[in-house]
Parts: sequence; C-alpha cells; structure tokens
Amino acid sequence: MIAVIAMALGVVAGVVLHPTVPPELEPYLPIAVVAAMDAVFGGLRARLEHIFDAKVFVVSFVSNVFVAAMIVFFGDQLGVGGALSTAVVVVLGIRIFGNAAAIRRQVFHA
Amino acid sequence: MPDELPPAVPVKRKTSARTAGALIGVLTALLGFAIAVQVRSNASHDTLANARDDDLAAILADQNQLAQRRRDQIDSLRRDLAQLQASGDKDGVAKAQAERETQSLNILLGTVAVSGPGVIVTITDSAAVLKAEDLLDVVEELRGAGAEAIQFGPVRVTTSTNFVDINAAVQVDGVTVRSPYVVRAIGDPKTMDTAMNIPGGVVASAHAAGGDAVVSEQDKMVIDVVRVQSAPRYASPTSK
Amino acid sequence: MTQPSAPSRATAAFGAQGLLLDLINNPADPGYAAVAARRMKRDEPRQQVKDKVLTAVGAALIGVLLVVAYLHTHRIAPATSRTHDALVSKVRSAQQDARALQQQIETLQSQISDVRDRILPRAGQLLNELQLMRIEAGTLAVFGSGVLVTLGAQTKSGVTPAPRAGSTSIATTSTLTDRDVRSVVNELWHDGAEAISVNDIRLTPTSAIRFAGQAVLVDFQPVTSPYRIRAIGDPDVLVTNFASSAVVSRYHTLAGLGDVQFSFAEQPRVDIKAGTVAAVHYAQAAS
Repeated sequence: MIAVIAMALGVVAGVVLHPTVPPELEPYLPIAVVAAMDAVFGGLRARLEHIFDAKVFVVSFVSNVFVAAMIVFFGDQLGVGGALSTAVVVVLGIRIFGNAAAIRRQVFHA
Repeated sequence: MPDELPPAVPVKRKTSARTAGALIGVLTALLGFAIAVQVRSNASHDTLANARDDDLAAILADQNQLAQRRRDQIDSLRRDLAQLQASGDKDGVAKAQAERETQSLNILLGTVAVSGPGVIVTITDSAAVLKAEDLLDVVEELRGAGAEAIQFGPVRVTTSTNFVDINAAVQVDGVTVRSPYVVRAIGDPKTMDTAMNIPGGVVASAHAAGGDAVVSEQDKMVIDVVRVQSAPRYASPTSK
Repeated sequence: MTQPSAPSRATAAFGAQGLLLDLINNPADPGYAAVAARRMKRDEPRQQVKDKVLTAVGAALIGVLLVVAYLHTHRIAPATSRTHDALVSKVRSAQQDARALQQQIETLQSQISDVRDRILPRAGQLLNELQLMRIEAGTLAVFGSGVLVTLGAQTKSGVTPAPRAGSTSIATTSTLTDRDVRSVVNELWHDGAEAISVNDIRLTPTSAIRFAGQAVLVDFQPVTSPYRIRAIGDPDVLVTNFASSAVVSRYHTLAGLGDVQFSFAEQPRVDIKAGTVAAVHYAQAAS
C-alpha cells in the first residue's frame, strides 16, 4: 500500500541523510515519536474500519506532535516539564493500546 | 465506500459504570505511580549520573580500595574461623586471636607506641590563616590514604579527635597546638605523600594560605605518644 | 452530529473522568468518524490522487521521524556519553560488590564471635577490654541516648526542569561538601560523642570523610544528601553543647536563607551500626 511504501522510503531517507537533532529539540523527540506511533495506529485502525481519511491522518499527526510539544514546553517553563512529558506519553500510549486492541479485534474477529 | 455508520460506538456497550470506574482508578493510580517513579528515579540517580567522569573514576578507585580491604578482612576472618574450628586447644586459639585483635585496635586507637614507615608533614602557617577545618583536612586525607597511626603535634589521633579554632592557634583534643604543625603518620609513605599533594589538597591550601607544607617520607619512624583508652558510658553494644 | 450521544452522556455523567472514559471506550480518532459521516452525508467523491499523496507524505514523515529518533538514541557520536554510562555502571556494580562483601564479613564475624563466646568466659577480662575497644574503634554496633542531626542540600535554582528520559539534567547546585559533614562530626566529637555514624556508616579510626566531585565519601562509600548523622553520648551535655556551638548557629543561618535543611533532635535511643577498620599492615607496636 502507498502508506507502507512511503514510510519505508522515509526510513531509508532518514538513514541515508542522518539528520542530526538540534539540542533544543532533543527533549521533544520522545513526545514526537509517541505522537507518530499514535497517528500510525490510529490510521491503521481507521483503515481497517474503512473510515480512513488522508487529511485526518496527516493533520492528526502534525497537530498531536505540535500540541504535545507545546504542553511540554510550557510545562518546562513552569517546572513541571518532566511530569507533563510523562503524562503526555502515558495518555498517547493508552490511545495506542486502544487502537492496537481495536486492530486486533478487526484482524482476528472480522 | 460502504454505506455504513462509523462504528465508533459498538452496540454492545458492555463497559458498565462500575467497571469503568475501576479502570479509571487503576489508570490514575498507574499514572501517579509512573510520575512518582519517574521523578524519584531521576532524583536518586542524580548524584552518580550527573557526576563528572573524573569524579566517577575517583569514586571507582575508592570503591575498589574498599572492596580490596573487605576481601582482605574476609580472608583473615576465614583463617581465624578455620583456626578456631580446627584447633584442639580452642581456648588457646581464641585467646591468641583476641589478643591479636586487641593489639591491632591498640595501634589504631593510639594506646600503644608504634613504629613503621610513614611520612612527616610539616605545615608552616606563621600568619595563622589556616583554620581548624583545614588542619582537620590533613587528618582526614591521611586516614583516606591508609594511615594507621597519626600524631598531630603532641597529640595522638584517634576516632574522636577533634579540632577547635582558638586565637592564632588550634586545639586538638583540648591541647593547644601552634604553627608549625608537625604531623607524623605511619602507613604507606607513597600513598600518603600523594594524598597530601592532590590538587586542592593539604599542600595546595597551605600555599594558598601563604604558608607551606613539606612532606617527607620515612622508611622507619616511631610514634611514641599514646593516649588513654576511654570507657564509653552511654554506648552499649547491641546484643545480637 | 450523527454521533450517538453515548460519549457525550458519559462526559456529562462523569465530568472530568469523561476524558479517560473516552480514551478507554472510544480510542478511534473521532476525526475519522466525523469525516466519514460528513462524506456520507454530502456524498462527496473521494479524491484519489490527492489522498494518496497526502497519505504518502504523512507516512514518509513518520518514517523519517522514527528513524531519526532511533539513530539519535543510539548515537555513535558522543563516545563520551558511552564512557560516562560505562563508568556509572561500573561504579554501581562496584558498590554492589562492596555490599556483598560486607555481608560476607558480617556473617563470618558473627560465626567467629559465636565460637569465641562459647569458649572464652563471658566476663573474661580479655573479652571485656576487647569489647570496649571495639566500641571506640567502631567495629561493634551500639545503641544509647544521643542525637540525630539532619543536614540536607536544597536545589538552589528556582526553575529547574525535571529531568526527562533522553535528556541529561542540569546538575543541581548542591552547597554541601565533605567539609560540612566534617564540621558537624567534629563538633559532635568535641561535645563528647562516643560513637558517630553518617548515613549509617560508622566512623572508625581509619574512616575518612572526603569529597569526590559532587559525592561525599564516608569510609570510601558515597553518601547522598540528606546526611543523617547519629551520635551517642550524654544526652544533656552532648545536645546542649552542640546546640550552643558555632557550627549549629552557622547552619541555622544557612537554613534560614533556604540554602540547606538543618535540624537536630535529642533521641532517647540511637542505633549505630558497626563499621570496619582497615587491617594494620605498616605499623607495629614498638615495645
């Protein structure tokens, strides 16, 4: 499928280009990764339930990353950055598990 | 595109209010736990994880020294135990071991005169800049370098030796001592010499105070100042 | 609008818990459902090409992101962080080894004293003398009336972002060094303490309180703030003299400024563990 091929291409590009992460962005990398995983699982589930929409996919990924980064950034300014970062990761993780469970149901029961 | 309702809400809504409540409880507990662990693990790892590499290397060296000392002790304890168990004259062996330990402690506590290799550290501080805590540093560094007997001025040093600042001088265990301070220590001369000369150590602070500290290694020296064994009045052994 | 009202009912019923309920019961991104419903309602044709391109772009971005994160986490560049981590793990394992050795020592010691106690008469002169010396040398665990002094470092900086996984935290500016612990201990000895331990490490004739970078070492073992210093002695004299000492007033001042935490309290019973003394290799009794 298009998405899989594109992701593979993205992986290759990442390996080849090997962009270095600037230190200011380094603390937000874990958040971005979890948000990305959430978007992937969400998209996969939507695809299996036949309600997948490309725009929602991209927008949800970008906005998740952005909002999460903003929350953590402001949390940093207030001194609760570490805890908020954990909270964001936990919440997104719950969603990932929920989506994964739905995918499992679709794959094995549908 | 199949004409179906988005299955966002399945018909069988099994999640009853109580199950949901329980799930909420578990999840919030989990969240709290995760945060607590995260914050606490960071706090507890701070000391070592944030230490500089040189400091870590120093700590590692100390740990190895400590481990070596403990291994030595284990070896000698095993020997003692084997001797005790194997001997026909347990009484005699036990007595001999107890006497050996007594002698060892006599040396360390300062109740007998001792001889052996060591160093003599002479600290001149004519302007009386050095304070009690600087001179205490001498004793602590010597201890850290394995000194087995120390004499500060006219005073034999023991566990409870303490330093107090007084006008232009210092009181060691109640005895007034003035510059130049002559410290005699028996142990490994090289190790003690090195310990005196570490950056920011005794020699460095003596120089910084406008004075001087000279370390001279000795193949054989005698410390004949002794102290009286004190009897603890408030500390009692915790019986097993 | 076409959404069943169950989620909104849940939100209304459980208030703040609605968010969590939502997550549990309805993990699908409502965006998909809303778009699907809207598309059904308006019956728009799907734009095949634009959709595919968008999907591809999104997937590619995610792929790049995942790879970059992976490479970053396992970055080869900072060999320094590798050696640092290696050192930290070496120190930790060395600490574990030292602890294991200490346990062996304690076992052997109790075995030996068991045998000895059976052999030598209890009230024997030799054993009594030895016991007194052991107390002063710190190789025997003791208890008695005394005082507990707590000295802790405060992190000075106000806004210190809590450390996160994947980032190195800013070192907290600790204002306490070995000199601080030493001065408290020194004062306690001066006021007549008979046994002292720092964070349960007994002070002996061969134990030193030193400093390596940010860690205070007592008898070669690292201890961390807050430093709990226990001392046994005459409950009146010890505490009174300690309380009126210059050391205490200095730390009270510092505590008032918020730089450190400092407190001490008389204890009817203080338990102080046994420590170890180094074996004597160089010194010999000179007769």
